[in-house]
Amino acid sequence: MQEPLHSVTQSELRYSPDRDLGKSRGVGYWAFYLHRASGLVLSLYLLAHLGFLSALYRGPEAYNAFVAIVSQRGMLFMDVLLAAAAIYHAFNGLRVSAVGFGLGVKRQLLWFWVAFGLGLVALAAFSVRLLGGG
Amino acid sequence: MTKQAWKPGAPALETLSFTVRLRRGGPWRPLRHRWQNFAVTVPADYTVVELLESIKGHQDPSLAFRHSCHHGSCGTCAMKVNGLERLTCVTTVADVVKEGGHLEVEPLGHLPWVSDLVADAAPLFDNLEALGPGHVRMNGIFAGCIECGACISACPIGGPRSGYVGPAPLAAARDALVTGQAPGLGWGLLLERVDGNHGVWQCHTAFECSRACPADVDPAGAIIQLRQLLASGQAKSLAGLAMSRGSAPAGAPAAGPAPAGGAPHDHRPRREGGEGW
Repeated sequence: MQEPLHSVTQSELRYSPDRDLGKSRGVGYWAFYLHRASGLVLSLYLLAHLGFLSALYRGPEAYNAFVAIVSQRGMLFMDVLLAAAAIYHAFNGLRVSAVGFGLGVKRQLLWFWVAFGLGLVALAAFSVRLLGGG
Repeated sequence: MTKQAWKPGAPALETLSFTVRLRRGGPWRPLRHRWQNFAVTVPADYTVVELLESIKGHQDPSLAFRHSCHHGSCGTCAMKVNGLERLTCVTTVADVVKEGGHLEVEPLGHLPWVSDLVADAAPLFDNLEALGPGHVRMNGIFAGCIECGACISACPIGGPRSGYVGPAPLAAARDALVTGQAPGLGWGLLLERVDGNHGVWQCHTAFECSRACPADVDPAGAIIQLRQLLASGQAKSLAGLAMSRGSAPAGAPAAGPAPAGGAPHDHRPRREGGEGW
């Protein structure tokens, strides 16, 4: 019988005793679920947005009244949350796409935090501009 | 944690007292799934599977769980311990619980539940046999995989029940391609399955499979490599090369017995002296 190509044999230690399996799920696991959740938020927002735009069918008064409601400060905070979902989804999506095709695989965890940090900066800039009236 | 040898006259080993919560029930009684608590006091260097044997021996003989080698070779005893996939035969209770704490043990996820702490690994084995290199069943291994199913349980996408081929079988398919050894399904079906809806493109690169793997196989890395092979067209080239070598002149070395289950067209090519990926 020909020798198998791999060097592992039955007599070798099969598990890695020094392997650190961690105490909780990894960042990638939570990144996955946050990506799904943010995608769901964006999908629901798109549907709601199209629904709200239907106010145009009822004339300029109806639409202006709706815009007046969503321009209130409390509603602008909702916009910040929406932006957070969009920015996270976009930046993490770039990371997933890049890693998925072999770019930066060894440093995928670092890329996540880079994407997360850049997202936070973008969100902060957006929030200041939106809420500060700039 | 290294096991301490106890000698007569030596002080007693450190013990831990805690509550063990075990998943009980099975698919035959869907409305009666429950967690059962057991109060235990065991040496701190007991492994989790020794703890389960102790409970089975002294408190509840009806407890069902799988184990075999007791030294991390067979992968049979993989379970979820405190929500994370572990080989229970090499995980000590001191690693996962503190005095007065709780220890939860449940079967692996994303595999059919059989009973109590037992998950049916047959879908994993089937996929490994179908997509893995021809010697998977010959040696029972590929690239160090111990076929424990931890990667499938940890993957947020799901396992064979959701249709997804799964991390370990995809890593096996990668091995078949780069070593040029015919997979159980044959090359055509291998490419079809790994490139299909439930193949490598379903992975979302959470890397949890590689993180959970106790044998350092890195299925996520293998999946990404497979994607690159498929996207660049090299996968077909490699499969074609392997198939052409399968019709090598008489006298070429044979690759060993056919995989169990019978391959539709087992060309048994060997990748000898060729360039690796």
